[in-house]
Amino acid sequence: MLFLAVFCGFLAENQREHIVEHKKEKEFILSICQDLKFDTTLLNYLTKWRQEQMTKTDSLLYYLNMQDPDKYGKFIYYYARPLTNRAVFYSNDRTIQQLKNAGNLRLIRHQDASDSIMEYDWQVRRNELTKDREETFILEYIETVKQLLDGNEFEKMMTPSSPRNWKWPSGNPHLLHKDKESIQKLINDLHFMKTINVLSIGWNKDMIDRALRLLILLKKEYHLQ
Amino acid sequence: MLFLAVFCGFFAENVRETYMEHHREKQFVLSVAEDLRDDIHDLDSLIKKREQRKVMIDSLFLLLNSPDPNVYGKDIYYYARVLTFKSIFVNNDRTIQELKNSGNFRLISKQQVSDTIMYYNQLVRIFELYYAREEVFTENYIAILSDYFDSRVFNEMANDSSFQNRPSGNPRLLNTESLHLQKLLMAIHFFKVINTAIIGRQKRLKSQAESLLQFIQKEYQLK
Repeated sequence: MLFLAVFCGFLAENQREHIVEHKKEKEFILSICQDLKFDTTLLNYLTKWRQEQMTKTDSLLYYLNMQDPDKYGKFIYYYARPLTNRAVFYSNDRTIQQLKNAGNLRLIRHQDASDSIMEYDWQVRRNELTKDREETFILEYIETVKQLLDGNEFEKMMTPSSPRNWKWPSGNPHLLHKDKESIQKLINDLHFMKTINVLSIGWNKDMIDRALRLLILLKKEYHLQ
Repeated sequence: MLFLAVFCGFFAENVRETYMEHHREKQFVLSVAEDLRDDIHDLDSLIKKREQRKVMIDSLFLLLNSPDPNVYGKDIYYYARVLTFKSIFVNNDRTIQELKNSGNFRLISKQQVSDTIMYYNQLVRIFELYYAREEVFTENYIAILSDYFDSRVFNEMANDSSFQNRPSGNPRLLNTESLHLQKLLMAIHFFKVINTAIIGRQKRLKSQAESLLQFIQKEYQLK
């Protein structure tokens, strides 16, 4: 009788642990779904923002490539300044960090789901390098802008509301240097910034796609609504 | 009888675990609230410091743009030197790190509370970018100071380790030629923009911390 009691206790505890682990798994999956929704919202916003930056870059390149760019100082100053702004993607890593750091990834029983979650996380981390490189390019661009444009004009273009909104300069401010070499340096910097922006837009779209596919997979595997 | 005993044991263990989890949840939430109070306090004082910095940047810009900046040498030297000091926000992330690293975020049973904590955490992470860029601007600014300022004056100012005092006399700038000053003005402009951006971010973060704190207090009936 005693052995039977101990054995039953063992079975019951085993069963209880399974139930608790399944409950935790479901909680983590629900939490990942929520994180993915946040990520897609942010990525959509950032894609739109980057497309606007792209338009500004193209406009600036257009005026810098004119026969006499100094005639278009108003446009050059207006488009050059906001290109130093940045908006970066920070993934909502609440659940993935918990799964990785606390050894909870084993709770995700569906191998497909677990693999897809880790693939998504890998893609997010892969982007860190691009983020760093973009910052380097922008800092390089800022240094070139400092040589070519007048800080006093930028001061006048500032709006009190936000450093992200810039006014049109009054009149037609001049470039500090008009030689081809200085302007070419700025064009080169812009080219690299534009390239990394195009790459980032592509990456954002790819990540939105991945997040949505992962959401569909999780909803299917775990019968979520 | 035996099955009843086993079932009761099973049931009791389940209840105990649920009770423990609720207890832990409460502890975590109390700890998050404490962290938020610290953050609000820190942000409050940092915003004030940054506003003061903004005034100094504006003053320096204005004085350098005056017809003869050397008339204001004393003030220019003072502002130019203290601008290399800046205060940064270090988030009290004790609980969020614990929640993330120990897999305990799931204990926060109220989804909206958990989401709002993460949103706050996202806002904090954005500061890394701003501070990193400000640091580069500071390094570049320091690198060009020697083109305009006499290091002996700075050295004299360093006798007071807190740099509270202006230099004695009215030291002259090494270079006041307009085109050369442009480089310094541009560096100061970028300082100003990043400082304004950080103030905006800090205000937003503080307001988010306050509403998160209120929300947590309401949801968990904390005092």
